[in-house]
Amino acid sequence: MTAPNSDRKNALEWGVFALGALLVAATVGCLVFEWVRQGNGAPPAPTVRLGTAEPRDGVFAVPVTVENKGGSTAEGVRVEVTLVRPGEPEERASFTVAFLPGDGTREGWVTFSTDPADGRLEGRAVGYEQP
Amino acid sequence: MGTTDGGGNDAVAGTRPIRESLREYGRGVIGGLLFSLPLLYTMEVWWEGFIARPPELLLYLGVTFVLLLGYNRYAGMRPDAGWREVAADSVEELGIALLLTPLVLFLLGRIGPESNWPELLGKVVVEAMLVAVGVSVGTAQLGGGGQESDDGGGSEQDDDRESDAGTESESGNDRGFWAQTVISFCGATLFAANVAPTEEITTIGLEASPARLLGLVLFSLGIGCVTLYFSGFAGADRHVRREGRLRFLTGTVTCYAIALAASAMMLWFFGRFDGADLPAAVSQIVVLALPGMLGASAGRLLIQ
Repeated sequence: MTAPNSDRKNALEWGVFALGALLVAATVGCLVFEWVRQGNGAPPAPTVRLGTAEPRDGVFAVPVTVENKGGSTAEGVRVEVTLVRPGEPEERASFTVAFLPGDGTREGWVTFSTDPADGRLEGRAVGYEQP
Repeated sequence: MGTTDGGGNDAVAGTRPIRESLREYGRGVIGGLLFSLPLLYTMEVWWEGFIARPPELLLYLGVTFVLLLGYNRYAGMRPDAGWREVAADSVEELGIALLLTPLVLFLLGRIGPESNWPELLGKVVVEAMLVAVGVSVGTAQLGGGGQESDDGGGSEQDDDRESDAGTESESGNDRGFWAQTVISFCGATLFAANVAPTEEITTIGLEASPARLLGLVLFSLGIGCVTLYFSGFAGADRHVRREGRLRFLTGTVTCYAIALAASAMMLWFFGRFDGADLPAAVSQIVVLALPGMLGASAGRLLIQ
């Protein structure tokens, strides 16, 4: 292993080399695994789950979980939640998730001026870009 | 210095002393940060971690490895090294970058418990390849006198250095505390200005938890301390005072204070404190003080 005219690696350098080789191999391995797993990349499919509203400073805040069930990243995911009450106008609230990776989850909040408990909440990702 | 330097650690004659390797790694880490920090503080690069697909990342990794091979072969630490050793050095540099990058990205709040595996992999690979090139350049180019004193080839250089130092000492080598402070301030401003007006500083600062900010402070102090006292950095032997047992503590803290002051000045200038409460202002200062610290320590030594 000794190259001519150069001093040899010491134990520490071999250790760092071994660690480096391990990390590089692991990274390449993971990338290949992800490549195979993702295939051609199932299109992004963000789904929205809503929690229970809690009163907060005069508004009612609803926790929202957005999960991307597709394989590839969705960019600029616009999440809109509608409060529907029979016989009354709808109230809408929304936010945007900048990047939602494949199989990734992000959390956010929407607020309503009235208590959503007596109505029905509907949430969905109304639009997103596939980068 | 000389052949006795770390000689006790040599299990086999002809191996490099452990201490010298540690210094090289220290300079590698500093170089990795110094050259790639603006990119670690760029959101378009973070986004690329979400967007890039595995085959693209593999290609990117491969191209970086070839660049590292080329650089280490023709401009690296050991110009006489064979391809095998060059390949081993390149793997080491990639390894250092793959350890350093997740740490920095975590401290900056770009990866964390909420990141899933593909996101983590993408962000780390995209940034680590840039860091690896910096590590390579840092290891090779940022060294100063003394560290090559063990091999025969280095003695000529040492003689040059000594005569340089001799003329320097007559023409103002003994730049005093205030002069060093001013130069540190210039270095911090010069380096932190790369990222000071960008939105990333605000984003990172406002998203960061106090624990991460504390981690960032400790990381900045550590980097500065290694640069000034423990890496054989170019010029450190001439421009950094070493007398006194706790010198490295006071020197590092002074340097960080300068980095904080320079960061605060720039953020104020760019209007980042308008409407910000104290915690928000402090967070942004701490975030900017990492590049500031690199400028105040490594930058200070490079610009004089």
